[in-house]
Amino acid sequence: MKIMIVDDCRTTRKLLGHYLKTRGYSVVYAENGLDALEKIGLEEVNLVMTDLNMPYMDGMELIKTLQTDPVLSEIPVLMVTTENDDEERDRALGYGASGYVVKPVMGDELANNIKSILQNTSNEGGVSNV
Amino acid sequence: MTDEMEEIINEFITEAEESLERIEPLFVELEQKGEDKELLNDIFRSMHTIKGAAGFLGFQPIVDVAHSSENIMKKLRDGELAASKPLMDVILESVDMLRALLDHLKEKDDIEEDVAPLVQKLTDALSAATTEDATLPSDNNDAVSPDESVDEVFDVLPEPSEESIEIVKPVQESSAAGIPEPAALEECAPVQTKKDSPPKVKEGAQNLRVEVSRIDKVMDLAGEVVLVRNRLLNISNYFEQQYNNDEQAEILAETVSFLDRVTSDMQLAVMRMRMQPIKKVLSKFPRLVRDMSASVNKDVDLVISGEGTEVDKTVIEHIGDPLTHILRNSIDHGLEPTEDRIAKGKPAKGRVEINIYQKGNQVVIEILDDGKGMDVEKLKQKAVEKGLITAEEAHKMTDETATDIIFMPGFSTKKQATELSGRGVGMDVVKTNVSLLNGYVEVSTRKDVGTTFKLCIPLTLAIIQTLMVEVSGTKYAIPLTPIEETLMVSKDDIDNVTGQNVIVIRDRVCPLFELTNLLGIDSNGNGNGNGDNDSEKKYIIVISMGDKRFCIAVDRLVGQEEVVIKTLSGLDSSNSHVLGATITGDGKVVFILDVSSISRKMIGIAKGQ
Repeated sequence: MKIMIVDDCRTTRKLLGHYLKTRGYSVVYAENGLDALEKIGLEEVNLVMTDLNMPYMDGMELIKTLQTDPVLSEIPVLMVTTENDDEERDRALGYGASGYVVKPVMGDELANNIKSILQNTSNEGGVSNV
Repeated sequence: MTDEMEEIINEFITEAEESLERIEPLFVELEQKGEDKELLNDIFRSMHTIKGAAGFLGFQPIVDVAHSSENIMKKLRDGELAASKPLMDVILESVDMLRALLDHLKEKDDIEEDVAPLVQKLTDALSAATTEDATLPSDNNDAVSPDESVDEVFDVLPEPSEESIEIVKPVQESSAAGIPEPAALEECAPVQTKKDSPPKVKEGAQNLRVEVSRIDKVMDLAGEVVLVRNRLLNISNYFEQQYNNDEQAEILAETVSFLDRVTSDMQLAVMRMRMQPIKKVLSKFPRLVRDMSASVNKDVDLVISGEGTEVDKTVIEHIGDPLTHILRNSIDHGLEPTEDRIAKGKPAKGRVEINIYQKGNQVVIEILDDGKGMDVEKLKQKAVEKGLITAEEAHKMTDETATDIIFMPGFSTKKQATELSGRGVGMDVVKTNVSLLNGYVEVSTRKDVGTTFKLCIPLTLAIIQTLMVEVSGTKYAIPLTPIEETLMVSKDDIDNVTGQNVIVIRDRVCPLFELTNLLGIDSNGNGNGNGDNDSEKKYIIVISMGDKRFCIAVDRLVGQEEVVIKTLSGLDSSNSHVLGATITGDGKVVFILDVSSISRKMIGIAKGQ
């Protein structure tokens, strides 16, 4: 299972990457929404974990853009953000996010979130090259 | 696993420090520009990012401080508040606190800062500035309490970070000086780019973070290779002469000359690895000027150019203090009080310029102010009063040499140096630090026009071009940079003016010194130290350090050689005039002379140009 981590913060990318790797996932990194769009077609990604506040293209825009593509819209997106804001949560879910968790999230909470999202979409599988 | 956590924490410290360094000047810019949404967003996002990562790592005090100042930034960004000086002051205070907290993390000293008063201050500042008190954030810790499960990946706090240099493959070659500009450093916070402009496309991994110690190791090895290359060149020359028509000797010469070229290229490549934009040092200055202009009550405009110029990492590390000191001096002593400026018909606002550019193998840093200039007579008088020079020496001094008085240990023109520029250390520290980098400082000043400090520093520190000379049968290396020319003169060409040997070079009188005297060694046969020598012919090296020009007489010129500086511990270069030592092509240890310290000794001795 491959997870794409989209965050403009190097430390957070590494930290989440480390966390996911110790749980058996393979990871691929992107620095912002645009970077994610560039990389997402290059390999099979099963889940996108994205930050909200990023330069160039933020998390919301990323979700919206992914939704416009018939293939990419199949990839579940989990928003991981410091914004503990119900409005933002509703917006993200409304645009098509599969989950919304508030940083700092770690341990079982994050693992369970990921697991359940992946299970829900497991029938559809990942996305191969576009 | 622990290793990786350690790495992540080090990464966090580096990244957060970079972010703070980057946003600090933005605050000052913001204050000047007033409202600027891009700037505000930029600062906000940096704070936000630091908070996010710190939260993951469980650094609660950092989270608290970042969160509180982020609250203010958010309101500013959303136009709910107007940027005011009190708000900026308290946010800058939080930047300082974050820096202190990061320092503790780095030092692993377990010191806990009490952030509660600052957090309170931030909250108070926000509520004072907010007109509708109803929308105040009541709880500073919402959404940011660390998850207990962080412990899971976070068993032991790691060792303090090893510094690392980020090697960045340049995306485009540019800049007037022909130095490749580095691509935007991969930063947590975004580079300043207009929202609609697309980010630079990065193809694959172009950046690699490497520990400085590893690069230094390569640098050391490259230095050793240079030494071996020099020896090989010597040996191959010998064989070429000895076995003139021998095919193998020719092949040897060819191979060695190839090695010669490759070694030079390698040196350059390694040197480049250690180079970083000087911006790193300059970014703190807008803030410094801002704080200072408030406390000395002078309006100051700081203009910086050439901040993209790349210099060696060691230069970055050692140039900060001297620059800060000069800058403080310029504002504190150089610029006149506003009312004086107006009386003189100058613009009320003082101006300090920092220009950085590359010139040959040197980086030049200029600090100019448009203040009152130095009073040369007053300088001399003070120096005599303090017993630094005699009245006679003062009388002999030209205006150019007199400005160098400020670099004498124990000299300060103000009776009481203010806390800002003084703090007990004088300008001599500036000179010392710059000399450590094999550079030199020049001062030029004009009454009521201003003062210019010019720092010239070689691009690389480890390997320098030298001229090998010989006196009394011993070889010495003199760095090539300050050498203007070499001459052979006869004894009759040397004149004596009021006890000082001089020589006329193309109608210019130049003071002449015997190297033996400068070094305090006996010259052959005649050790009276008066600069006399038996031989009819003399080799003269003309040294030019800024405005100063003087000659050094030696017995013999050996030749030009690229040498690797090996520092000698326990050696005071200002007294011994020795910068370090090196191993030459023939395997001998040779002292490298410190021309800037010799030049300094000239103050009071030389009678001018």
